[in-house]
Amino acid sequence: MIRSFVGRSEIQIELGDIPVSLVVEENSFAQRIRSHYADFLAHRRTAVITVDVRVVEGAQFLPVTPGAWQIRTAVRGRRLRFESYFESGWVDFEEGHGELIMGVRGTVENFLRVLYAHLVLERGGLLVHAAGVVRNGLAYVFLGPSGSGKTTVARLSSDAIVLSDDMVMVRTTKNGVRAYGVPFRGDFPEAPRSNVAAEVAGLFCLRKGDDHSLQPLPKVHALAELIACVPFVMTAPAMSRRAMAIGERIVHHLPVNALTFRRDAGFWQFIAPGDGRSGVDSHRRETHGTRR
Amino acid sequence: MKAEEWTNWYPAPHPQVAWRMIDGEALLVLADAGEVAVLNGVGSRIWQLADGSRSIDDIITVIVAEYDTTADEAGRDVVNFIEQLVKEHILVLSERTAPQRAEKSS
Repeated sequence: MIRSFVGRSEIQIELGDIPVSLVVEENSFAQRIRSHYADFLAHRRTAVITVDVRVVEGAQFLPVTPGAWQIRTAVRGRRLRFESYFESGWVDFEEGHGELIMGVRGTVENFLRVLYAHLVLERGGLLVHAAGVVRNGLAYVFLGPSGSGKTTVARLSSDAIVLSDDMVMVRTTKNGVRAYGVPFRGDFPEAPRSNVAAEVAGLFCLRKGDDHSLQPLPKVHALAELIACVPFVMTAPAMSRRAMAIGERIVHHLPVNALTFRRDAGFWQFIAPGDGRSGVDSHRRETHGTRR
Repeated sequence: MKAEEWTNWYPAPHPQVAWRMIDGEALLVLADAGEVAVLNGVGSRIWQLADGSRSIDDIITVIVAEYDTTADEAGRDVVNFIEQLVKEHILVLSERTAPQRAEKSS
């Protein structure tokens, strides 16, 4: 929904059926957000969280140093705090609103990653470090940390719809597990940001190797590998317990295999069932009325 | 502390650890460190027993009864294992019993 305030607009983004509103100044920054998340803009729904986003010239919250990207989060009660180099904010889940202050070099992307990791956890799902692709109507989720081959697998799946090469949202349903595309990308930024969801055929824990092979994982190791790929929300034991409970339901429903693969598309012969069902469920459909 | 001095202490999970028993194996999440660990069969059994209500001596007694091992061997292994988990902030030791924990098993 785009609603005019005094010089400000509400941009609603929806990932995995969870709408979040960003209230921003109506300028080129707002246009960038609309363009970047074009396929994920939502209409006519009440946002679960409304975030007031303000760009402040010169704002910087952490020094930029070489090494891993710094994202600091803390949860106290129902309040989430977030801080990165050029962004600092909070969300009160009870009150349904939050604030994000950004420097000119800041983006809303990492804030959204953290926020959605928490929102989906509350709703019985997980945002996981994984590549996800949809092939013949079924989603294949490839779990792994940085360097495990997520982007490689996504790039090698040329006949599939890429959900993401970095993060995928998975939620249990009555009949199984559903994977949702998110607009977050790793090293494959040119992949279309497709708002697509599909039933999950299986989880695959990536291992680089000289050949292709599949090895079924015992349930406890499957859950361990899944949980190890859940970022941002494992900082408190209560949230870890919740993530483990959700993860256990997911691995109960799905086959989980270690996939050893070399850099060619031959791994698909090992993992594709070959009888994919009907097509992809696009969230831009009539339900949200944004198909153009 | 010498190994024999440990045995009257009561091990219990560190407050920053979340865990779940899956098919008899313990899956641990160390919230502080952001690490995930799976314990093997006997390690998982010791973990189950280390609930704050049993001393290390009590745990050794159970392990001797349930596994094909001697008291000396079990004593050494249990103490080493618990010492390692204490060093890694996975277990804490106290001189008296703690309230029993209740985490999910499946």
